[in-house]
Amino acid sequence: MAGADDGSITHALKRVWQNEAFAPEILPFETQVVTEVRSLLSNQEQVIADLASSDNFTSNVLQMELDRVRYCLSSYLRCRLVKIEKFSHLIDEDEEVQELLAEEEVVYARKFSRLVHRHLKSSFLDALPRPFAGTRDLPVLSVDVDKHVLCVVAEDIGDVQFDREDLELERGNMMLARYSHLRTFLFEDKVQLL
Amino acid sequence: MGERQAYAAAAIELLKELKRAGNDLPPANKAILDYVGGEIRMHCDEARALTREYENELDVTPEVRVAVAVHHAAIERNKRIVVAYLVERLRRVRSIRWEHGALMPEATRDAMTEGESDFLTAYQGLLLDFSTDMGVDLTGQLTEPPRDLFIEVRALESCGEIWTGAGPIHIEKNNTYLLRKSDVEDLLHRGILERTS
Repeated sequence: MAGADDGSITHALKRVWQNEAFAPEILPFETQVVTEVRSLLSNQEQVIADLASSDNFTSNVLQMELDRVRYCLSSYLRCRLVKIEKFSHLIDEDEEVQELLAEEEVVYARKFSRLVHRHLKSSFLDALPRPFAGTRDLPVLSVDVDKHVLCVVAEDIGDVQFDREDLELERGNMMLARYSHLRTFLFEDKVQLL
Repeated sequence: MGERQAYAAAAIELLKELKRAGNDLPPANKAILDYVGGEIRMHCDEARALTREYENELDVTPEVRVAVAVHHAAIERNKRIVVAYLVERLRRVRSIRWEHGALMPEATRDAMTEGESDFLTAYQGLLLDFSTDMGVDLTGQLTEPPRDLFIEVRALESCGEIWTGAGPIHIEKNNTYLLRKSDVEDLLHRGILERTS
C-alpha cells in the first residue's frame, strides 16, 4: 500500500463514519481525519498515475482501494449533509451547533435553508394574506436524543445508572441504549456506535 | 359557509396522498393547494369581519376573541400542514436524486412542479459548490459501495475514442465493453453508456 500510516487512518475514517451514521445528532466534524484521508487519496492518485503504463495489476489494486476509501469519505460527508439538511433551520439560529460543523458545512446549511424558504414562499406562502405569509414559526424538527442505538464499549468505565437504564460499561460489551446516556462517552471515544 | 367539514380536512388529504405514494413523488395536487389557500383567505376575512365593528381593541367581547382565535388556529394548522407537505416533497426529490444521480427517472421528472425543478437545479449547484470547497466530489450517485473495479457497459451511442487506464478505447453504439468504473463514470452519468452487470 502506498504510504505508511494509512491503515490506521482508513480505520479511523470507518469509525467516524459509523458513529456519524448512527448518531441522531450531528457530531463534531473530524477535521484531522478528513484532512489526512484527502491527502492519502491525492498521494495514491499520483502513485496510480505514475504506475499506469508499467504495472497494470498493482495500479488496478490501488485504484480499487482508492475507490473504496473515497466511497467512505463521501459517505461520511453525505451522512452529515443529510442531517444538516434535516436541521438546517435549527443550525441557522444556533451558534453552538455551528461550532460542530466545518466552515463549508455552515455555508451549506445557510444556503440550503435559504433555498427551502425561497421555495416555500414562491410555492405557497407568498399567496397568503400578509399577516400569515411569514416563514417564522414554521414547524421545526428537533433531534431525538432519546433514540436507542447499538454500541460497543471501547474502554472500561464501570456500571452507570440512569433513571431509565442501568448500563454495564465494560470493555467489549455490546448493548442497546439510549443515545442521550451514551453521548458523553461517545465524545470521549469510549464507546463506538454500530 | 354551509359546509360541515372540519377545518384543514382538505390539507390533510395532501399528506395522505404522500403517504400512499410510499417513498415516491406523486404529482403535486395543485387543486387542493389552491383550495387550502382559499380556505386560509376565508378564515382571514371572517376574522377581520368579526373585529371590524370595534374601534378599540379592548372593547372586543370574549366571544369574538374566541371566534377570532379559532380562525387563527385554523390558518396556522392549514399552513403547517401545507409546509410539511412541500418540505416532504423536497426531501423525496433530493432522495431520488441521490439514488439515481443527476439523471432523474422520468416518472419523478413528470411529477415535479416547476418550482421543484428549479429547486433541484439550485440544489445541484449547492452540491457542486460544496464538493469544490471540500475537495471531495459529492455530485455523483452514492448508494453502492464499489464492488467491482471493472463493470460491463453497453454503448447507447457511438462517441469515438475514450481514454482508459489501459489505453484508448473506441466506443461504438450497441457494443459492450468491460471497463474500469472510474474511467466511465462520467459517460454513465450522461447516459452514453449503460451498465449491464
